[in-house]
Amino acid sequence: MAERYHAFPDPVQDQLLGLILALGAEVWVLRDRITLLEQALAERDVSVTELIEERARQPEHLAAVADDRTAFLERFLRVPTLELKN
Amino acid sequence: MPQLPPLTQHDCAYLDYIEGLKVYNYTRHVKTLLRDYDEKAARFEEEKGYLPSTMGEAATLIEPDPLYQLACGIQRTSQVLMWTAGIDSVKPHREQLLAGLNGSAQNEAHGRLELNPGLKLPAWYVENDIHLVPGGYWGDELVGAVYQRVLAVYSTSWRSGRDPGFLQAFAASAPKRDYRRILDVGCATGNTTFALRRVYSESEEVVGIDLSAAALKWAHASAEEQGLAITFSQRYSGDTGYPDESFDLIAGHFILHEQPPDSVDATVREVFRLLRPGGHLMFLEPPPYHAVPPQVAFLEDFDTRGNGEPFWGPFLSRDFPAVLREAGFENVDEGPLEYQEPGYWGSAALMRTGEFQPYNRWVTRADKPPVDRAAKE
Repeated sequence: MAERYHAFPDPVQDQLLGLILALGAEVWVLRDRITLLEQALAERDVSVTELIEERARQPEHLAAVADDRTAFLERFLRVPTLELKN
Repeated sequence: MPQLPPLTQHDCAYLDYIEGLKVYNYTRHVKTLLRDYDEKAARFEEEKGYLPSTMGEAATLIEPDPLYQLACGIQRTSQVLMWTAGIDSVKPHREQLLAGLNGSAQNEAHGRLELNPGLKLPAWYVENDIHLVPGGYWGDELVGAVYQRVLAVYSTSWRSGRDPGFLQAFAASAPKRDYRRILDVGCATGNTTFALRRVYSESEEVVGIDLSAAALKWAHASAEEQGLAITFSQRYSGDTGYPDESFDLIAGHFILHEQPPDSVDATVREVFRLLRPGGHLMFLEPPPYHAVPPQVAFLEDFDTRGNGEPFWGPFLSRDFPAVLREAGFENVDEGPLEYQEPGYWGSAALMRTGEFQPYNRWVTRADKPPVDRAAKE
């Protein structure tokens, strides 16, 4: 079996690139779905896009999601945080 | 074509992303690498008095560039993601697809399927995941469906629509119009074989051979659906088992660079044996390294190490016409296929920059000496 190929001097960089690009694919799929969802609702006279834009600007929304945002960041940064602590 | 399962929104968006990633990589990163190469080559010439003339010299100018490393990393990752997307899109329909394929295998309304479960697959074939497809082209019964699903993304024609015209052009480029028996070597899912059958509609028999039972099953099902009379048979190109002088035209598309040199040699000897005197061969492959600028050869050589094609570089570095002459063929000729494919991106991964290059589809042709000349010798 041939030696495993790596594009970068450190193979870990290849793994990281792979993770990031795979994550990009998931993000794109979600973006696409949300776009389609908003379009479908708009065709039924539910202007959810305007509702979203309006709500996003409200201080109440930012306050409501603050805890969720913090929890998200804690989960997202869990591994490097644990590694650095150790 | 057998019915592939419908694409979900997830499938469409995922495949679209992958194609977009590849296109971005080629049209931005690779184009930048080529532009930067021209500047570096000019400095090389100032220092040494000549432009880089070998792949090795071009490599010294390109390989250290972090952008090259990024482009290679993106290309490899996009291939891995492409296959997983294809597999994921057919997996939920596995039982239904297999039932359809196995049922179709019994159907011989137009052609025939000959499988050989006892065929020993070469070690180089089973130990290497060609093109990075998990399990190779033989490991999964549904590899034919997966391949057909992602083929357009592989060639970055998913959104623009894949133009099959070049296969017709290749099939029609043989010297005669009235071949009796035609062989397609390494036919996979049959796309080239279909083109041969359509172009030579009056031929007695068109045969496609391949090592992969899974690919042949898909090819047969496709042919039956299209009403094409083709025999698909599971055989090794280096030792087919057919009698001497069985065919008068033998063709192959993108098959030789997937084999080690000794298997290429065995295939050439076998093709010589199988051809009738006066018969013709033609092989369509990526351009050999001697036919392209050194920086193009180096970028194309990524496929050797980065795309599960370890025999790519060894084949494209060889003097294949000399191999054919050594085997006894005459009128050996090589050059670009006469076909300008609109929107065609290129044959090798990192050279799909969107600019058509005439050498991208390279054909090598040769004739078996006619009876009288062979008898005299």
